[in-house]
Amino acid sequence: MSGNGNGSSVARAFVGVDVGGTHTDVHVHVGGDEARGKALTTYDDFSRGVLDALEVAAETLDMSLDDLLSQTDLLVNATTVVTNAVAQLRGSKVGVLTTSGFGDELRFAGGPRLRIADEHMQTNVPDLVDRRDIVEIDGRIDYAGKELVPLDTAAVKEAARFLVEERGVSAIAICFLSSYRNGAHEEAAEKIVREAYPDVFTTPSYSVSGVRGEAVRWMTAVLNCFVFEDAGNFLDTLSTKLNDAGLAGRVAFFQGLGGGISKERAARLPLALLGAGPAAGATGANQLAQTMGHSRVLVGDMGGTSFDTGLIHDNVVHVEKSVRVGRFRTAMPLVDVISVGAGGGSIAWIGERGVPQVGPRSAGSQPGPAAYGNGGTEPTVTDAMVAMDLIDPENYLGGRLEIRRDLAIGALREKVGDQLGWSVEETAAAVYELVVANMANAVREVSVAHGYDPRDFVFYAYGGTLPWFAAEIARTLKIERVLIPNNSSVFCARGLLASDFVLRYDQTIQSGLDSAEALQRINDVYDEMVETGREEMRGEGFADDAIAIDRTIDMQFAGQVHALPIAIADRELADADVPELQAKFNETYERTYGAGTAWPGAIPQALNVAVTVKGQMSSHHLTEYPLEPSSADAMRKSDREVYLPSSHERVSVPIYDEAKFTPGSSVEGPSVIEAVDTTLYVPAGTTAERDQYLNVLLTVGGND
Amino acid sequence: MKTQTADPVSIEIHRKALENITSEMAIALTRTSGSPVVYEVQDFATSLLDVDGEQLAMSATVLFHAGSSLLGTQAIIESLDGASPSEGEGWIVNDTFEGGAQHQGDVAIIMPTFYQGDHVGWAFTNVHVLDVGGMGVSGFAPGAKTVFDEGVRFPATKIMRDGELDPEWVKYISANVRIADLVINDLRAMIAANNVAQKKLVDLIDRFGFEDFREFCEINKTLTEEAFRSRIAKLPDGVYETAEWVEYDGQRKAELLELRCRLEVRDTDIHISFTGVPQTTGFVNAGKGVVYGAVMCTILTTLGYGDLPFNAGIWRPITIDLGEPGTIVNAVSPAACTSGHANCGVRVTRAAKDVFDQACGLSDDPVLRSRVGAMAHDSIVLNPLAGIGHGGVPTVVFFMDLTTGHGGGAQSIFDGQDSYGLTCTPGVGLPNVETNEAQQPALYLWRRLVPQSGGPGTFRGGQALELAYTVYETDLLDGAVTAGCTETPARGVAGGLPGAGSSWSSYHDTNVEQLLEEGRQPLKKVLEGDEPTQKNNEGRIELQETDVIRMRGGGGGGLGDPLMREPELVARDVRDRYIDSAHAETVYGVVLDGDEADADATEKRRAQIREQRLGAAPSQSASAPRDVGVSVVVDADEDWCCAYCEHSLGSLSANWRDSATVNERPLVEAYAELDMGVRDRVEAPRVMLAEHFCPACAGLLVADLYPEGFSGYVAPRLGAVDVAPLEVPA
Repeated sequence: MSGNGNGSSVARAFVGVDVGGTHTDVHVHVGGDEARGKALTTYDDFSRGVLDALEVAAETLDMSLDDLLSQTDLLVNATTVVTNAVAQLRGSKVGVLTTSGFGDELRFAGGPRLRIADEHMQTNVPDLVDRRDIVEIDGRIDYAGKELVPLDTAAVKEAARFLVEERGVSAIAICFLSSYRNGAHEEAAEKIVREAYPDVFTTPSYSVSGVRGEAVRWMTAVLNCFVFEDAGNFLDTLSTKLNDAGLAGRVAFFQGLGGGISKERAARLPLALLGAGPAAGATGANQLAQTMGHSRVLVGDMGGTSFDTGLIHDNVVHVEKSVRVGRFRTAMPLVDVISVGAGGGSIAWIGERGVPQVGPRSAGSQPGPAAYGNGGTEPTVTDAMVAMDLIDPENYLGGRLEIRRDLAIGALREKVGDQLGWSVEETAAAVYELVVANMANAVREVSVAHGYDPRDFVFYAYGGTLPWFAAEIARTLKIERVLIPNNSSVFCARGLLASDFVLRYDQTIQSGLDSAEALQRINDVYDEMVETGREEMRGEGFADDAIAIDRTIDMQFAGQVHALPIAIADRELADADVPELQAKFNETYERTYGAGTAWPGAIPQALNVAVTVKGQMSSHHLTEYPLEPSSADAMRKSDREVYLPSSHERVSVPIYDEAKFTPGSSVEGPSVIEAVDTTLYVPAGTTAERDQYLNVLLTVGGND
Repeated sequence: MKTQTADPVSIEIHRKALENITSEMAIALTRTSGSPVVYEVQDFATSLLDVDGEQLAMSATVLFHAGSSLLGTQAIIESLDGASPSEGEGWIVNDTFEGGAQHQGDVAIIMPTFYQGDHVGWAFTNVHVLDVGGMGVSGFAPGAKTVFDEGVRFPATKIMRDGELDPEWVKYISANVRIADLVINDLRAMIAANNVAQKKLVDLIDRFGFEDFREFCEINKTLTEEAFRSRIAKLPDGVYETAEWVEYDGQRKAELLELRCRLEVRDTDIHISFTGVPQTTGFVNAGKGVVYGAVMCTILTTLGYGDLPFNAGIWRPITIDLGEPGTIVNAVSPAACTSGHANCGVRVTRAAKDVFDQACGLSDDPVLRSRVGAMAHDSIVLNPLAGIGHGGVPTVVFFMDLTTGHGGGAQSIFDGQDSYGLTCTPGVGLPNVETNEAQQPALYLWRRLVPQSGGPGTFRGGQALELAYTVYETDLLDGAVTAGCTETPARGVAGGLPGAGSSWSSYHDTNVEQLLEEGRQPLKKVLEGDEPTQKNNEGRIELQETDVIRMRGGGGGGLGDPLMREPELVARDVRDRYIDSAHAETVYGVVLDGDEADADATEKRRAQIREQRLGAAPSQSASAPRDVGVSVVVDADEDWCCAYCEHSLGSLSANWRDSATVNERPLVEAYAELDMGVRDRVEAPRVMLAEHFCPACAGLLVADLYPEGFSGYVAPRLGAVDVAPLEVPA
C-alpha cells in the first residue's frame, strides 16, 4: 500500500470517484496525464454511473475502459449514500440496549428545541428507533469509571433474543452511561449479542466515541446502525461490479474526516462516510495549497443547491468533533464545513417586508432553473446569470443543455422584478448580490468562529458554478487572492486522490497537568490509542514507515465544558512540555475569543486527547505545464454584451476561451472566461492569470 | 455606484450583517464563559442598540431579554441625563425595578459603541451568572421576604473604565457572591462579547458609510414595523381578556395570586394591559422588564414567524399598561423578585398566549388562525445547592434539566414538543447526565419521560421529563427548591385539556447505599426512604449523602377536543409508552385491539363519552372543525357558533360559555381518573376544571381552569369597544 510504483512498464492509474446527488464525477491520474469524466448518477446501480464517467475519462486519455480498469491500482470513492439515508430517514431496523432508568434519552436528543422563535418549527427529533425496540438493562458505572452495579448479563441475553427474534431488528446499538470512561459493560453486552446472533450488526457507543456526553455518543451509535445496510449494500455492489468489470486494483472509501479507508472498516463504521464529498474537496485543496505555498486557505464549493465552505490553517484542514446532521447531533469528527442554501438552483423571492431574498429553497435538478425549460417557474440564481448574459445560452455545459433565456427572464420579471418595479437586469443583479452576500456570510462565519480574519486567507473556489461569483465574494470579504483550480467542476473527485488513509481516536480524560501521575495517565491513554491505530493501519497494508501520527490535546480552564484542540508532538508528554503547552493554549484562546479573555490565574487543564493515524499514500505530483503566454487576442473568441452586476451597466466585454488560456497568460476584467463545464466571471479591477498547474489565479481589485 | 432601486438589497445585506454581529457576540460569550448555564443551557442574550436605545438586532436564545436589553439600556441613557458616555466605559445592570432586569441572577453588561470617536450605540450582553449572593443560591431565594434578602443589586452602575472592570467593584462583588471566580469570569466573558460587537460594528460602518448605516437601520426598523402591522391588521378589532394565577407557598400561606390580562386590537395597533393582586412577600413578583419581556415571548413565538426580523420595529405597534404600581405585575421595591420572571413572568406569557389565541382564532386569515396554540407548561423546577464537590472544591450545583424538561403547547399542525423548555428559551439544551455527574457530586438514578404528561387534545401537549439524583461522594449539599406550576398547569385551547403539573420531592435515610451494595440500581420501583410532604417553594433544604431529590416537569396543554384525535395517533402513543391504554380509552375514547385501534369499539366508546358529556344523546353529530385550533366561530347571523356542528351559542354580545353544557369539578379529581399528575391545594380555593360542551353535538369547546370562586372567563367583544381600566382583582 505504501508504494504505488510497481515496476511494470505500463503506467499505473489512480482514480477518484465522487458519486454525488446528480452527477458522478471521476478524476483519473495516469502516468503524467490527468483526465476528468462526468456522468449522471444511477441510483438503481451506482456502478453504472461510475463506469459511464470512467469511460468519458478513458476516451479523453485515448484509452479503452478495459485498459484503464486493468491499469488502475487504486480507486477512491466518495459517496452520498450515508448522508442520504440519514436525510431521508430510511434505514435499518435498529434495537437499542441502554442503561435502566435512561431509556428516553434518544427522544430527548439533548434537547430538541431549535434556536428559532416560531412555534411551528419546534418539532421533536425524529425517532430512528421504534420505541418498543429500546430495552433497558441494569448495570451502572460512575463518572470515574467505577462499576457501581454489575451488568445484568442474563437481561442482555434475553433482550437480544427479544429484539432479534420477536422484533426482527438487524442491528443493535449498545448505549450505556459513562462508557466513555469505562466501556466494559458495552463490550460485554456486545459479546453476548454477537455470540448468540453473529449476523446482527452491533455498535457499542464507546467504539464510536470516547468523549463524554451521552446524547451525541448514543445518537452516533444508533445512526451507525441505522445506515449499516444501505452503506453495506453500496460498498459490496460497487466493489463487486467494478471488479467484475475488470478493475485490477483495490477500492477505498473516503470518510468525512478527510481520508480513505478500506471497505471492511467502512462496513464496520459506515457513519464515517458522512460528508465525504465536501471533505474530499477540502483535502484536495489542502494538497494543492501545499504545492502552491499557501498555508491559510478558505475553501468554497458551490453546487446546484448549496454552498459549502471550510477552513485550512497551517495546511491543516479544520476538523470539527461534534457535527450535526439534520436534526441529529453526532460525535463524528468531520471536516468542518458550513453549508448554506446558496446554489445555482436557489430560488429568488420577495419576503413579507418587501425585501428580496435568495434561497434557501432550491429548484434542485427537477424542475431546475426556469431556463432549463423543465417546467420551473421560480427564478433561480442560474436564471439571473442567463439574464445578465454571463452564461452563453448556446454553450451551457458544452451545449448539452438547451437554455431558454426567455423563460429565465419571464420568471425573474414575474416573481420578483415587477413587484419591485425593477428591470430584469436590475432584478438579476440583485439576485447576484444577495447570493454573493449569503456565501460571503458563510465564509466569514467559518473563519471568525475560529478567530481568524478572512483577509489573511487565499480563497479556493471550485464547483461548477462558483467561478461566476468567486471574485465578488472575495471582494466583499476583502480577500485579495482567489484560486480557481483546474478541473474546478470535478475538484472533489480530484481531491480523493490527494488523500491518505486516516483513522481517528478521541478520549475524554479531564485531568490536570500538574503531576507526574496525571501525565503518566495521559501518556498511557495516548499509547493505547496510538498502538491500536498503528495495528489497524498495518492491517490496512501500510508499512510502519508509512504510518504517521498526529496528536492533539483539548485544553480548557477548569470549570469550562468547551475546549480548544492544541497540536502536540508525536511523543510522550513530559513535565518540561507543560508550560509551553499552557502558553500555547492561552495564545490560541485569546486569538479565538479576543485579547484579555483568558482567565487570569486559572491553570489550563486537559479535557480530551485525540490521535489521528495516517497511512500515507505517495502523492501524485501535479502535472506542470510550460509557461507559454498567449496574447489576449489569441484567447479571445468573441465579444458579448453583458450586464455587470457590480456596476449595474450593460457593456460589451471580451469572452475568452479557456482552452486557449495557456499557462503564463493573463487577462483583465471585466471579461468572461468560458470553459466546457464552467464560466468564470472576471470583474473590473480584477486580473486573472493561469499558472503552470492550469489554476486560474485572480487578483481582486477594488479593495480599499 | 448603486442605483436607488437597488437599495432593498443593501438594506437586507446590512440587516444580516447586524444579525451576524449578535451571533458573533454569542459565540464569543459561549466559548469564554465558565458557567454551564451559558454553554449548556444557553441562558444568555446579546443585542445591539442604537444611540437612542432602540434595538437593531438580538440573538434569539432567551427571548425575554427583548425587555431587559431595552429597559436596561434606557436606564443608562436616563442616568446619563443627556451626557455622552466615554470610550472604555461599561455598566452593570441586574435590578428589576430600576434596570429592567428579569431577576438579579440575570446580569447584563452594557457598553457604548463608538465610531471614529463618536458614540453610535450600545452593545448588550446578559448572562444568568452562577451566583449573586444573598440567601438563595444562583439568584433563586424562595424564602426571601424582601429584595434586601436577595443578594447584590445593581441599578445601572458604571463598572468599567478604560475598557477594564473597575478593580474596586471586582473586590466588592467577589466578597458578596459564592464561587466568585466563575462570576467574575462571566463578567469578563460579557465584556469580550461586547468588544466583538464594537470591532465588527466599525467594520460594518466602514463598509456602508455612516450616513447609509444610520439610514438603513431606520429603514429596517420601519420594514419590520410595517410587516408586523400588516399581521395585526388581520386580527379582528376587539377586546380579549383572560386571567392567570401565580402559585406561591414559600411563606405562611399557599397563595394563588391572580393577574388579569386584556388585549385590545384596533386597526394595526395593539394595547395590552395587566393588573394583579398586591405584590406579595415572596420572590415571585414581576417588575416592568419582566412583563415587557414576557409579552414579547408570546408575540415572537406566535406572530414572529417567517419574514419578521426582530428589532425596535416590533415594539412600535404595541403599548403595554402595567396598571397601578405595587401589584405582582408592577412590583416596586422592596418586593422580593428573584423568581419574578419564572413565576409571574411566565404566567404573563401564558395569559398573553390566551388573548392572542382568541384574536388569532377569529381572524379571516387562515395563516393567523393556524397560529392558535396551547400554552406551554412554562415553569421551572430548580434545586440550586452549594457544598463541596469533586476534589474537595467548593461548588454550586445548578442542574438546569428542569428548565428544559417541560412540554410545549400543542400546535395546530402537530403535537407539542417534548422537553421544550419555557416559551422564552428557544435554543435551550438538555444537559448531559454524564457532564453533570462529572462536574458535580451527584449520581443520577433515572431521567425519563413522564407518561400522560402531555395535555390531551386533537393534538397532544408536549411531554415532560422526571429525574432523580442522589448526593454522591460528598457529605452535605444545601440550598433551596422551587417549583412554580404544580396546581394550575398549562391550559389547553379549543377543547384541548391542560397538561400535567410539575412537582418535586426528596427522600431521606434511603436504601441507596444498601441497593448499591447488593449490586442493584436504585430505580423508582425499589427506592425507599422518608418522603416528607413539602412545600413547592422550600427556602432551605439539606441533602445528606445518599439522600435523593426527584424533580418532575409539567406537560404542555392540548389543542382541540381529544375525541377528534386520530385513533392511530392514540394507538401509537400507547405503543410508544407515552400514555397507557386506560388513559387512551378514558380521555380519547380509543379502544385498542393489540397494538392497533379497534375502529368499531372506538366509535362506540366515543359515542358513549359524548352522551355522558351531555347526560343525553347529542342532537347533532360533531365533525372536524375548519381549523383544528378553533372551536367557537362567528356564524352568518353574527352569532357565536360551535365549530364542530354549527349550533348557535348565542349572540356576540353575550358570553358563549353561558350557552354551553358545563361539567365543573376539582382538577385533581378529574386528573386522578386520567392518571395525570397534579398537586392538590393544601388550603382553599381548590382548582377547578370546567369542561364546556356544545349542547348539540357534545364537542368540547373549552376546558377552563381556575380557582374556585373565580368570576369566570369572558368571551371576546368584537368591534370598537370602549372599556374601563382593569380593576385590581379582589
